Amino acid sequence: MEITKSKKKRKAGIANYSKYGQMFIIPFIVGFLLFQLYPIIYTITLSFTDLAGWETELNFIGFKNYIHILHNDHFLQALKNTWIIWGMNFIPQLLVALILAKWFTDNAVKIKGEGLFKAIFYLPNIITAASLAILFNSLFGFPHGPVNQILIHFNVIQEPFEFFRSKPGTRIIVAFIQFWRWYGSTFIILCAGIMGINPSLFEAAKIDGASDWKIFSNITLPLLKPITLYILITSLVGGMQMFDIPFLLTGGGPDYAVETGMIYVYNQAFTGNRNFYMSATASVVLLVIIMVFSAIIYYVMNRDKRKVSR
Amino acid sequence: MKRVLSLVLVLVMLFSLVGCGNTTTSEPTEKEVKATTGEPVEVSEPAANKGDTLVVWTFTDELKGIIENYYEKNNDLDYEIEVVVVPNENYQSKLDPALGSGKAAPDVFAVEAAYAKKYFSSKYTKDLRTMGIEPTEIPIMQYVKDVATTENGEFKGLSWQATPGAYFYRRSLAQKYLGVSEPEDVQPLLADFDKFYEAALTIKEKSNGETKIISSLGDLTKVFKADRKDGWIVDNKFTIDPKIEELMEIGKKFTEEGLTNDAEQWTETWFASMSNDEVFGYFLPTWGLHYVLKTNAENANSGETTAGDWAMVQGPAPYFWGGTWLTIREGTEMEQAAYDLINYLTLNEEFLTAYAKESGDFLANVNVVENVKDTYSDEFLAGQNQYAMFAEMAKGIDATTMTGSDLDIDDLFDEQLMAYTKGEKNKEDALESFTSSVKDAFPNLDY
Amino acid sequence: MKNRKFSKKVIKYFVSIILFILSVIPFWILAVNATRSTEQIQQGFSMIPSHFMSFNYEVLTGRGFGFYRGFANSLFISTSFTLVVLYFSAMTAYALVVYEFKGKKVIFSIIAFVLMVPAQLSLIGFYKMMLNAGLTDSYIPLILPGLASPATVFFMRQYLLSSFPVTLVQAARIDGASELSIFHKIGLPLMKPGLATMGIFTFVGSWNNLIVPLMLISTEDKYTLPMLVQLLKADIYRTEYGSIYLGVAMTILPLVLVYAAFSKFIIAGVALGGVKE
Repeated sequence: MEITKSKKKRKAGIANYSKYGQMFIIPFIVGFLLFQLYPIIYTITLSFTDLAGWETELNFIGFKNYIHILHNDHFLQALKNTWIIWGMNFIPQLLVALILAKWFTDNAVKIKGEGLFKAIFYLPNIITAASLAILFNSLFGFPHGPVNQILIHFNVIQEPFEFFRSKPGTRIIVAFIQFWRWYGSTFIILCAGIMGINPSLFEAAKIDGASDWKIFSNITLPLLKPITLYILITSLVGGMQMFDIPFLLTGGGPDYAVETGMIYVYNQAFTGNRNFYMSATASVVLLVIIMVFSAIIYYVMNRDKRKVSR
Repeated sequence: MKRVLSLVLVLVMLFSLVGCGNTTTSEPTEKEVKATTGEPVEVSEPAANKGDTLVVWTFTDELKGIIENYYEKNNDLDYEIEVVVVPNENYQSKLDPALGSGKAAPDVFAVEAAYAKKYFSSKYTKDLRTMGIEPTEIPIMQYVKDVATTENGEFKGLSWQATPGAYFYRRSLAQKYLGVSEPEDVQPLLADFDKFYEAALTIKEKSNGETKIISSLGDLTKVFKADRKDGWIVDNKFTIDPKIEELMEIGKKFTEEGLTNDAEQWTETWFASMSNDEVFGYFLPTWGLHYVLKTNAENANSGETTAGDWAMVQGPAPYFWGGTWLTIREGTEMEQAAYDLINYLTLNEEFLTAYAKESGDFLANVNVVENVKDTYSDEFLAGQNQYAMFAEMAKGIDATTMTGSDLDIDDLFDEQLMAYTKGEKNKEDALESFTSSVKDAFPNLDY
Repeated sequence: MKNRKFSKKVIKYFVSIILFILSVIPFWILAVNATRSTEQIQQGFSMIPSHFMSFNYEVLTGRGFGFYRGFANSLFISTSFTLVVLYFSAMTAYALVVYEFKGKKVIFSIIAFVLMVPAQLSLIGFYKMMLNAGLTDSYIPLILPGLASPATVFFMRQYLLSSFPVTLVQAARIDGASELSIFHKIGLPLMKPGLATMGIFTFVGSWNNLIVPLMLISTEDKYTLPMLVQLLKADIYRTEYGSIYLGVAMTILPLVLVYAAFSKFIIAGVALGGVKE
């Protein structure tokens, strides 16, 4: 296959150019060192102290915070909420984006206005979370919000339903907003990936008489692996850090149903006694969770890739 | 790149405020501040200005307007005043790190009632007594001074305004359902929470459920909490006043018996009911009358209005809601200028009189209030003198239950109050969840 | 076969139209609310425009702060940031794919790691650093961090892995081109679709970014557009929702235009096939 072939060539011809590779990444390294490394170390350090409120002195207390946080029901519930909402959003998001990407890169089922549709799907992403939260709050308002009015009008419900007092109701709304905000960008990324695939591969398969679905599952999907890996990992990273929509919509309520890990992190640092140590510890735990699951995803997908390209 | 947006809110320099070192937040510079109540502190003249710009931070453009339209116009200043307005929802997260590091920090900053104590009890605000402002000697309303007085007797802030609260009701609906409409006849029917409940029942019955005495339970909680003996925190111990359980009970009754209109504060229906007959009355403070009730009394689509049909009474208990205090940052390089500004805005009676007459804002300065209060009469309230009534109500306000953590604890409580009154939890579970959530947010308190 | 194709098209139309409506509705509501008065918005929801747009516009622009100034500031920051991100991320990703060098694996691990760090965790100390470095009230902290944008590098690397013909680089070398000019003349053009994609995301993110500039910038002359809109919430005791909606709508408009311009790039696909064997 293409990839393996070019890889070999690359290895053969490039040994002398290694210093350029290093030069090219200098700006990145500088940016990383200046703006990211120190803050990361700083937070990790904080998680081993008991810094809170107006205090400024770091007082090291070892792993106490980590032991404490793993027995903290609020935090554990927040982690659970995060996974539930992410799952409810991501699975449909990836499926819909994949189907759309297949349709919109397939010349056989071209429809009118394709470019317009394609462009429009991403639009929800342009509106800030704050505006979206206000919008959805009033859409699902109680007792006279438009959604309630419509449901009553069509006799779906008899009495107005208080969406934001219902745990599943609020979770579904949050997951839906996340889905709706991000499927467009996932779709665009997938399209960019599919269009990057050499068209001659599709043509060859077609000449061989492969069906649409076969081409998609045997050529498109495997070649999309690197991009899908990107989507999976960034979505996981983003999903585990989900914050603004649930926070702005209900502040985590009702009764902590949509309080995510990041809302916990935020609340610990900015409200109450401002427990920076807890906030930092929670962030590090989140980081570890993200790393572990990303590593699993990476490993699983790369193992597959090796199989395929062979 | 994805999700960058969604993180942005949190990313904010979490913790950045800490560990910044106390580079410029010097220890109380000149004199030692005695830490016992009432004991005199050593007083010195405010230090001369060392910079050429006085930086003022605030969370509304109200203060900005006052400074531009009055202070700068009427005074010949040899320095610039830079007013930075940061909306309330981001105010503290911008202020805290700036105070902590002492860098790019304001000389004077405004704080709102909901979090004023957090700053007054910190070391970042200056004791005004050290500059010669003695709380016992100034003509400012007692509760306004109480809010700015710390446990150690330091006096940290001053305000030009006071924000007592009242109950505003519809005269026509009162006549219809209670048989009387004048404030002096209505007040006795609402004088305590039992009577308020009785009145609520009457109104619901006689109107066949068309009219409710309040829009939501949230309207009632502020008043009820003001009636407590103990605040949430007493001597660093988390405390649940018996009144709180009472509030839960009465809240349950109101909700179960359908005595509210089921529309929370600041929601669309809450506003809309100000121009129709669904809600009998609203608990609102001074500013609520002018900026909430008056602006929404007219239905924005049909133009029908309830203006002129309103009246105000105290209701079951005196309370206050909101209010802006000014405070000087400890370590400021513009001490004289900061002192002059606060002094002028809160104690210059000439300015305050002019300002009150132009804006109608209710003031904290008792001398000025006495002078101007009889000149008011509000068409909106069918000729009632709201200023004189607020002046009366302000005397009954007790701010001693206020703590620097009220904003957060109130939020945690309201969530469980809601869960209990809506029947999602029983009372024990709700109280237990409440305590456990407070513990999580304030592990530093005693329980 | 034809029938199947037809029904496929119908389904595609159907789904597309539903998603289209879902995507457009909030813009419609935004636009409608921009024409309604604050009281109308507070008192109820509507899909029918009203006639308060010019009033809202006066409130929006009559605050003594320059709306167009804010626009220029936002444009400057977002454009610079996006260019920095795209150029240096492309460069880094290109280096990771085209060259073999010592420490390459380490660099890639760092990128993957930073990508996973909860963003607030790296901005934790970021603000503190900026305070200490005296960079508050400056645009530097809003633009330069674009040097290291792990998500973009990661994406561009994945993108190059699946589509970049390394043989072209070798051909150019034989022609005697320098490494940097190969990157400029062959690398960058081939990355265009990927860069356009990331460019949109980056630009939108930077344009809508409120909190970081709000924390750092204090002089009103330097305020960004979202900051100015946010300022409307600081009205005395009352929020001018009508003007906020108008402000949000006006903030979004340039994004929609930029997006329309970029999206052609993406939709056309800038045929990579042409340069492939």
